Amino acid sequence: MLLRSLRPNYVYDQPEMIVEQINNTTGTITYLHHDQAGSTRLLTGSTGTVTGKCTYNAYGTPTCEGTTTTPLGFDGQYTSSDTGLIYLRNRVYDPATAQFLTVDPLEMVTRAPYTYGEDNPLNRGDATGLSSWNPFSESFWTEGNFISESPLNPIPYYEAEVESYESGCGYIASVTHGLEGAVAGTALFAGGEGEDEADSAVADITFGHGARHLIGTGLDSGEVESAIQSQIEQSAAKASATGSFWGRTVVDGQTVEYRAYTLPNGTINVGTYYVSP
Amino acid sequence: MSLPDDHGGHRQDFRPLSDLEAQLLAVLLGTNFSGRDALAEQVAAASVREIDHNGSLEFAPADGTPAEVARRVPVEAELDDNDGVTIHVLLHVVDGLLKELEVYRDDSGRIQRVLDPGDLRLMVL
Repeated sequence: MLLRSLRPNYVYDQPEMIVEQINNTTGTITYLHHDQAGSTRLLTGSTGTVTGKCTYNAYGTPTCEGTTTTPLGFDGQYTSSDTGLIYLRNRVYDPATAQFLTVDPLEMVTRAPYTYGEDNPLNRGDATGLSSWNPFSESFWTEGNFISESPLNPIPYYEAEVESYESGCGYIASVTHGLEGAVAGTALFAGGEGEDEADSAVADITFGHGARHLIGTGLDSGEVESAIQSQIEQSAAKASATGSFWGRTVVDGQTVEYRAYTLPNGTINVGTYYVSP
Repeated sequence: MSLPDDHGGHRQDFRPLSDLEAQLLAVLLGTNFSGRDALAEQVAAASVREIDHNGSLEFAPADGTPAEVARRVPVEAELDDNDGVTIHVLLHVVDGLLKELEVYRDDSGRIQRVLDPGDLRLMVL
């Protein structure tokens, strides 16, 4: 799949792995080579010549050399060339301090509001900013809950996330911590945000209470439910199974929390939602 | 589309808490969390009305001391319905004041049993 951006184009090999970067101005192709944790280690040109190398300390501070660079460094995620901050999908991470800038949306599960990879970066990653992940077993430790088994696609989120962060919002689309370990759902598949993902399916999602909690907030139930549905579809597509879970999304600058449950027939019912201060 | 939130097509008048409702709230407020004491004071003077078929309650606007809660839902509970589906009981607090006691099933179906306060499994997040 070729994903277009305002600057370079990027080519995915797998849904979560960018392997090729194309300079839109010069047409120069750069291939990205990753280590087991997904960090970009080597850059090569179209002839196989090494054009750049990067190493990282345990918490992600890079040391790079060569003539070619990529913003997709530590954990294969977007790093701001201005600030050195890394956008790990749900939160912004500062490798210089080894801390996230905002609290883990899964704090109640991880008990680690700001640390990266449970402060055990040699054995654990945190590429989504949500939950500690062992890159060597490729599984989150929060087994059975509604958490992706692999990082979300980065590029579609970058520009919006950067814009959101720079406008004062710590994250744009945090999500999901499971309360119950029960796994009762079926796999769901939904399209990403790429323009060329034509063969996507939409999860069957129903809503119970919720609209009455929007009175006085200025939010419209249709708008909120659409945002929740979109987020569930994206998250469910990355999950091996769903069960009982929570989520949180931002609609017109207001955080909406929702509670959902996967029915035996695979339908996800959002039992309630409300604006959370 | 959300389920309709009215109760039989018309709004009830506010009324005092029933004994069962008061017991449910007592259990919810029996655990320790920030703002609990202020909420207990508000409950003592609360008037409510049912707002859906599950018996969810809307609290009448009041002038009690605002509770300093950390979350909109500072305490909640769950219990199993007769068919095993989980029932959730959420206490909503807005601007420090009791707003709603929400009751719903995971599948948004109609609740089949009486909510026995002794069966509640409390959660403070």
